[in-house]
Amino acid sequence: MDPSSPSQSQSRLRELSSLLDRFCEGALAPEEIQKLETLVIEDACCLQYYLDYMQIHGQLTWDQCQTGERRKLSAMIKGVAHRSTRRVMQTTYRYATSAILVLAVCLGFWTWISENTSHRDQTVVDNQLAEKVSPDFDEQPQLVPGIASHGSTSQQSPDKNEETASTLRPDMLQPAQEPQIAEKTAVFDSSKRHIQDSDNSSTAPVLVSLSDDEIVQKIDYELSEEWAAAELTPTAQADDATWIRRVYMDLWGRIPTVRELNSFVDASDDGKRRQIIHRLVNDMQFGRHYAEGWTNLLVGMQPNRMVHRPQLRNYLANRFNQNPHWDAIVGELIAAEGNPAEDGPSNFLVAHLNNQAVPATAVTARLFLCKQMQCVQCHNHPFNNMTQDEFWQLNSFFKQTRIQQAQSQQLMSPPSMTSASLVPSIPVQLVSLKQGGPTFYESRNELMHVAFPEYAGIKVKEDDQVNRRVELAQILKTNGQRELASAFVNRVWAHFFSYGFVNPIDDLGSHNPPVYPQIFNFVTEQFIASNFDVKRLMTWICRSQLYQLSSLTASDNLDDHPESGTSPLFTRVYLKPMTAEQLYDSCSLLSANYPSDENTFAEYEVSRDTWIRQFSRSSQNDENQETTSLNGTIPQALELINGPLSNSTIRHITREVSKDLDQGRLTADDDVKMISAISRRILSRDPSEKEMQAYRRVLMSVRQSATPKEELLIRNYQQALEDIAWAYLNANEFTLVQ
Amino acid sequence: MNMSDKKQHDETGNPETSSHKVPIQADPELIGLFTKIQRRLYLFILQATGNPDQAEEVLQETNVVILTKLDQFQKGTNFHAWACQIAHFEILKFRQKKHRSKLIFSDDFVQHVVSSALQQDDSLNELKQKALRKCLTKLRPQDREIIEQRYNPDVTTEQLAELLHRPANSIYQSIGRIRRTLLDCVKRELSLEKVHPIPGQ
Repeated sequence: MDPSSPSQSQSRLRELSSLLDRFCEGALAPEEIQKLETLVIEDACCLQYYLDYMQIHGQLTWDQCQTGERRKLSAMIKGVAHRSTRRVMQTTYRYATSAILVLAVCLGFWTWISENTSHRDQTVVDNQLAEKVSPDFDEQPQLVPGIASHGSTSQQSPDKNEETASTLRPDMLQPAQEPQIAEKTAVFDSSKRHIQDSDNSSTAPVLVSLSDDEIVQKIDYELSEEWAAAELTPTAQADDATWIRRVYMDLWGRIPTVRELNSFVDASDDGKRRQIIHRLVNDMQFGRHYAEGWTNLLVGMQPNRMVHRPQLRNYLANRFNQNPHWDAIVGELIAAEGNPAEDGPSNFLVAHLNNQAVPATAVTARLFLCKQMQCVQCHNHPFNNMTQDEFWQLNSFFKQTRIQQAQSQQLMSPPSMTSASLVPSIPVQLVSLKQGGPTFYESRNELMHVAFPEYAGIKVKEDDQVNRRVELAQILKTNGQRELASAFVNRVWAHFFSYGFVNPIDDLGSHNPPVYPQIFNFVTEQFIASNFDVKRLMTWICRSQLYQLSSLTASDNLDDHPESGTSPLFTRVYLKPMTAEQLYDSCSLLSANYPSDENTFAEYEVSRDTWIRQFSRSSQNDENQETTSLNGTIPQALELINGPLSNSTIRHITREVSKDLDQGRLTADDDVKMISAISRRILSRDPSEKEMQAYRRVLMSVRQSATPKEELLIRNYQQALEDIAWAYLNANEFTLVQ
Repeated sequence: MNMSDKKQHDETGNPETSSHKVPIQADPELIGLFTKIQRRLYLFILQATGNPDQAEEVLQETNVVILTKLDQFQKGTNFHAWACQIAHFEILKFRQKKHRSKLIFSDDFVQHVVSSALQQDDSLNELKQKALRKCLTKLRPQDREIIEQRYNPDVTTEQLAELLHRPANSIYQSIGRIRRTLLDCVKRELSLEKVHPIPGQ
């Protein structure tokens, strides 16, 4: 490796800064000091950092030594010092005094002085002075208990803290405290090697599983520390209506119904957010939503004549709902065998075994390990330390795998799901052969190389009895578990907050440092300790202080603007555009086409696939990648402006809200009621003042128009309501998750 | 090390013999320079010794030598560079004198750090000092309190931990974090300052 590569240098700097933190507290062991020296000597960046860091340390030492003594001493010095030096004296009394003392005593008692430095005498004087005069010191007894009562370095000043507490719900936001679990959690942080740790130098991390409450507290605490370090104040809490829409979108993939919205907003229970998270995560819609997202990731949207989408989706939904252990799910996907129409997991590899299993290799690495390996199939990676043989070693795990034509026709799909192209038209079977042999590949200098199955330093034996994919699944659960977990945590974090700790989310590695490494590590380790429990992971995130925040910037966190390319600081919940599925599900909900129970889901999802497929396009590359045009582009706009989906949605909403109207006499009260009802349905909030005014004017003009016939009047009125619903549906706000 | 340096070193090695040269009436201008240089000298020495107490000790000895040699300084040349040379020799002398085990850094390291510290752009020093003071005011009150207490010579970290009812290791972390915040802030301030220099500075 080139020692001066940027990534290396960055990780060196990080190491140096953590060494320096403790060095200044006199907490480094000799071998650590040696490490520090090596870093500084070998790396010019580290040298500069060392000099800067020590300068800060020195300035603080120099200045703070005098804070207590300043006033009295300055008066003292004034008398002695020469006039021209007075201004400078302000900052340098202490040594100036000693210097002048030295000067004075030099005249007579030179030798004596050089042994008992005048400085020592001076310190005694200084201390006495400090006790007597310093106002800085007088204040301390008041300040210190103030901090202590907050029990931590929570990020606001005491008065600010109160202010926040009043706006935040007590259930979600006990002031960010360093929980009593500090001792338990200390073992997790490899980056925080404290003094105490140096006593027992066994560094093997012991994973202690904490309770949900403890984990949430710890995340909040760490995040508040990070905010403070970056001098950022987080945005205020999101209001209930915004928050409930967000949490429904994130966990169920659709907006809440008016009833769901009202029952939540009207509830005055302190723990209502916590309760709703619990309810959402434990409902079958949770699994269906995640299954859809992961089906897209695993097999893509494009029609594949061998893939049975619904079967894979059902498998995933059941797993997420009933047994959500990610390592086991990944293991099953990788080691799957059988008929795609029957064995859901087998669809994953069936979709990617083309082209010598290059896609299978690349997609496995990208989805489960968040590593971008596709470029290293041809050459070693230019920026990170991935090498070409790593790719082909991973590829070698798929060498035994074949897709075979299925024997009989009875394996065809059940008749209920015969919607064309969504189920396989070619019946196949995913099998593992006894023999695989190694993978051969060519490097850039046209030499032939051979790669044997190996991952995370574990080699798999070349043997008839060994099923390599079963072995790979096992390795991922053991030696590879950290990568597996961090990749998933990063992905899920980005699901909720638009950005992961590492961005882009599927490019993890030392070349791409995470935003808040401590939190990232902590969550990853807890995720491992929870046996990769997907539901718990999401519960922690949804209950975190961060997730309660609004999406708006405030004056104090304007810098936190990852949309403009800076790295996210997570002081607010960034806006997310709806995904195609969320849009379809929300519109279906509004037009009462959303399935009410699990049995009707499968059929519904097939029609959703058909709808979404029109927006999906294959990138036609070696990694079977796809892109969607449903991301704020023209096709999406057209679909919402005048597509069948939005038309049926608008009609249904209008029918629903206007069904109880007294056709004979329409009043101004009706106008207000109608506008509110439409707004609540579509945007989960009450109409704004401005909207209300504008729409009332529209409805009023319809009511007061001189139409003789009653039915014509009501039809015109409904027409106006449809216009209003159209306006709400086409507002940007609708397709955004705030 | 060139010859003239060597000579100077030898002279400073025997302050007693040169004590008769102590100027009775020091030049006010030089005293001014001398006072002004204290802080920068201290920072330089700290970079090479790594320990504030040792740095203070070396600074004291350096000051003695500077004062005794003040009349040798040629006005108009760089006082800072001159003083740093003396400090450099005092650092080496200190290292010879001290018992090996009390030294923190290796010879190589000190040589490496000193040579590049001597080349550092010194013109920003006052700006840096100003920036740090500004950055201190920008800290959250709790953080400022912690850092003030940390650098208060009368308060040990253990006392600080006790005072704040927090475990010592969490205080260490916080101090490290705050120091890094300050470092970043100073860098930011300096880059601002370079773009928009405050008039009169």
